[in-house]
Amino acid sequence: MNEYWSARVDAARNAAKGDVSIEDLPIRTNETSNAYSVRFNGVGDYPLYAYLHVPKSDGPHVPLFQAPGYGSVVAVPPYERRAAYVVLALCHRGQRLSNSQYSAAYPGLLTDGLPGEDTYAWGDIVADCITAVQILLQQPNIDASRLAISGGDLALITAALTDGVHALQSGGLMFADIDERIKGDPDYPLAEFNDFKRSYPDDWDEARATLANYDPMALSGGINANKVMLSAGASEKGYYDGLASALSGEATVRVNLSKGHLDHIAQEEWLAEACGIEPGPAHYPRF
Amino acid sequence: MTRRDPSAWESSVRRPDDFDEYWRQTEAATLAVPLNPRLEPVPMRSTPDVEVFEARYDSYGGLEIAGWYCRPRNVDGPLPGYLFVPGYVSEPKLPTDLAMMGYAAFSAAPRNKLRSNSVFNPGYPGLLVHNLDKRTEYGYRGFYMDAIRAFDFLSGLDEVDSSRICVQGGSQGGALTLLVSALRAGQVACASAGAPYLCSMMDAASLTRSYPYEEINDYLRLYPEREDAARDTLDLHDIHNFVDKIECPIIVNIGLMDDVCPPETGFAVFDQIGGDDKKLYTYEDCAHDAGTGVGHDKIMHQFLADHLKPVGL
Repeated sequence: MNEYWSARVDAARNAAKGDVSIEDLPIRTNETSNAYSVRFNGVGDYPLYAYLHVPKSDGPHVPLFQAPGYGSVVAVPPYERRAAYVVLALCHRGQRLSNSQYSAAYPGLLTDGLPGEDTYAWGDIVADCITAVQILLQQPNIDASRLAISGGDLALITAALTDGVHALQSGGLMFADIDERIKGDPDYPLAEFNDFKRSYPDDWDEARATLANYDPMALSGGINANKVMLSAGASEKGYYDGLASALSGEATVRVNLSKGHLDHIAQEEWLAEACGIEPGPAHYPRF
Repeated sequence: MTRRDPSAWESSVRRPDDFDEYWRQTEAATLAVPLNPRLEPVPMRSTPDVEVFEARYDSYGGLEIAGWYCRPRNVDGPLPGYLFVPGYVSEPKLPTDLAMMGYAAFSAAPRNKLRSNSVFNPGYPGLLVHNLDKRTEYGYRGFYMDAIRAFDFLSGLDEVDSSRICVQGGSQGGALTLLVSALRAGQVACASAGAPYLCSMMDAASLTRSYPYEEINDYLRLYPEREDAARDTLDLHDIHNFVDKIECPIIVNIGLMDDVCPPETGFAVFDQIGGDDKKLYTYEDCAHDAGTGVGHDKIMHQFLADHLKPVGL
């Protein structure tokens, strides 16, 4: 772990030692799982919110950190996950429910605070994720040896900066291969990098140095998960193959079929198998 | 197990007796609020090829609504217009790609979306069941009007050819596409609705456990005594009841394994669409993506371009 991350990780882990409020959330409790609102402070005493779902079946259960994606809304975890895992879904600072002091803009968040290492918004956002994982691990009736993390960049970065991750499922990485992928006219959110580069050309070199801390390839040495699944678009397979080969654990690259039903099932089945459990109950179609 | 046939399914949506009058009054109240359109340049998002603006207008209840407007530089007008309407949880896209295709493109952020949520902010989850037991105060009443006024905003711009405007979106955007096409029939030139949401809503909640429809299940689990009132409210706002007014050429795409907006409801609403120039695309093994990753995007853009004749950059 480099200097950039070591201080942030220490601060994030310390934040998890603070007060944590866990309240029943009856409207999201169903026949298979209990739901809770979790409130705690991230680094800088920033107030954060997370959904916590605990299966009603006997434990111990696999703890699953569902890392936030790129957008203002964090979804309630899917039905099948709520039934099978103790799943924590964090709203990082700036996202809805964690936006009392700061609201992220879309587009805007991806370059918020660049070019400086100390001002880039994502340093604290990653710290929020690390704190949230520690809070997940504080929960009762879990098997911490099977800690699982899923999601995009924040899942992969969190896994790289957290000890004891058993399974990591990731893909769709915004910070991957930035220089190549911003050539031409990429869609948003990647286009945010070009907007920044065009608006602040003199700052781009410093921004790239900051962004290098988030490069999956640069972080790969810290990813010690026993099992990793990387989902890739067909055109990205080469990059993800390279990333997989840099990991110490058993890594699988799956090329998405761009058929959402099949891709979703493949991911959920892989995650359950990697964690040694049965996938949650299928709920659609219901006849 | 017998393979299900979602095309044979029948919706239980009922059309309330006061449906037309309710929406006539709602639209009248909306039109009584001056649109007050504003455009502010956004240099950071603009490129040598595309100008980007932050848009603002006023809508139902006097709420200020935001949007993004993008137009190609150095193209002689008038331009074909492209209204993009957003999904449920996603932020409205910044439609520079559409401007590159030659459209004057408007991407609306109806109330509750970021930049339009200072007054109305039930959140996500939340919007689908906001005031669900109060039929005239239901959250989607004003939300629908925001989409209608987004069309009026775009069609009122000097550089836009008001006879060449399309509406397009997926999921909630698919629902809003159908809504705008119905309530602006005769003005919408063509439309494309993907995986339409807000159709046969009470039925959909019984077909799936995925959000957003799961919000209805959550709500009724907590407030079972409100089921009749909820059904009445949803019938009054169900897209299924609008679409017989659609006149423009339209395509609809659905995923046959969509757990978010079950295809049963997609087939049912497609059957209800008025006019003869309509086509349904169905995609095996696709879910809420509804074929966008396996070629439908190309089909959609070709369909819209055939009708609107944009001059791409």
